[in-house]
Amino acid sequence: MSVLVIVLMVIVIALIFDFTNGFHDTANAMATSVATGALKPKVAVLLSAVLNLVGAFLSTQVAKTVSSGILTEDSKGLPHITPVLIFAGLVGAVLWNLGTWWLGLPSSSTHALFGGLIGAAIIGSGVSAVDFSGVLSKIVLPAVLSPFIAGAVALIATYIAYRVTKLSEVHGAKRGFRHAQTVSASLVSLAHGTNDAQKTMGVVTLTLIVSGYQASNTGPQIWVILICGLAIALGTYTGGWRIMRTVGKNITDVESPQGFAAETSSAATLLISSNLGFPLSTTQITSGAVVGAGLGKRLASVHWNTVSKIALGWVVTLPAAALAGGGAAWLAGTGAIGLAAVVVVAVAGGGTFVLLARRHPVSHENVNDDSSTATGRPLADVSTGSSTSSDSSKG
Amino acid sequence: MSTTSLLAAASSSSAAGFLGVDWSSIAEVCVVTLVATVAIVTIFSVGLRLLSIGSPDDGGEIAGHGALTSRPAAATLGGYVCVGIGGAAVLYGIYLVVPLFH
Repeated sequence: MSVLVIVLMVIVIALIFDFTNGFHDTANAMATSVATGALKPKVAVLLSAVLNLVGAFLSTQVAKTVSSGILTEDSKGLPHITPVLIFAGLVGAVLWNLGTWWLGLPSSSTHALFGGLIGAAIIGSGVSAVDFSGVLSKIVLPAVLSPFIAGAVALIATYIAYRVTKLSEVHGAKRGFRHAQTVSASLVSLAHGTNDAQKTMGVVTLTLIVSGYQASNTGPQIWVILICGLAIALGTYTGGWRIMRTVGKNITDVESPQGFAAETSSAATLLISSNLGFPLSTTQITSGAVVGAGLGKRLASVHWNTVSKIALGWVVTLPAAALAGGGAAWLAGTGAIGLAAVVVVAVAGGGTFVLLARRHPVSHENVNDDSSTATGRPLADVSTGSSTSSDSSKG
Repeated sequence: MSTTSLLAAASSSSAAGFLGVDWSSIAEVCVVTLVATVAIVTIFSVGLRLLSIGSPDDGGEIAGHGALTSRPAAATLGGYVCVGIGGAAVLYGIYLVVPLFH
């Protein structure tokens, strides 16, 4: 099969991945703002989409090094991966993203992407194609540390915000916190745009390089930046309402001082970690911060069974996407018919998740419903009875 | 551009430590994040508190603090300074996000 066809297929699936990345991660920045009413749902996703698009154009540094440290490189500095394997890896990543979206789980799109690529690279080029120490230090460790760092900081920040403003009863505090929350959430969104859109750009650029359409060690071309930015922005605007409800309502019912503390912690953790050369993961940071904000208010209850489902999702994401990507790579490796079969499976699998999600839709209209009263099923059925009160001592 | 410094930071992390991880940079991230967030949230909250002086509390008991009284100029000034510091922190955040600026 001609290389050009494969490259075009990679670009299409990469844009689909980018789109799912967008609606998967809207919740990261905007869930708390939607939950507290700081922003109307539609306004929140529009703001987030615009900031993601702007962010995509601000920096292309991540795009140049997307696979470095994860996949081993040959003498020319290229990873041991072919366009077909990249395609297979992206299929795995897309399917995992759609599955977790259906469940309303805020899982990391970055983990899904790297999981898919790792699985495909192992099947296609052997275990030596993967730099496992890089995977540990660049993916596993940041994912484990992020929620604890951001959560602890958000806990302390929430406690202070409530103490200083007498549980935000002082005049104007709720409004002030809502405005501040919007601002810090926007910063999270912008930082997200500068990171995640670039990962897709990096994958497309990598494909163009390994298939000989672009010189190695060059950055993404302008049309790649443009389509990737647009795809993630469109996905963001579509709004991952299912995931937003999980983060904004089902972990803990976020109030504006908590939202402010959580978003400020998230923004600070995100910006400081990437500027000190130890980038942490956005999804884990923001979810951890929401848990911390829930614990920081006395009497607030954190729904630990929701938290444990999310944590389980994080643990499973990389290996699951790797399995899916590896399976797709194995099938695609059998030839043109196998590759066509991968496409069929991908469309069928993706379509199934979309149809399943339609049975219990979550939209901008019911995103703030408590799941015990809502008809929606995502993650769900978090009945208040099964939750545990984190700290019932008053003081 | 800080490309080189970022790359240097990234490569130095592979240089040291248990499991090939630069634990000191993680500790640095923790401390700086904690200090920055606590400072911003505290200052902003104090600002809101200062600006609320003279007004009855929202909700709560109706008796509350009684009628609206005038707010001392110092409280107003302090409140705006605190909120302004929050705004400055946001601008610094944007500066950090956009590589063109540094």
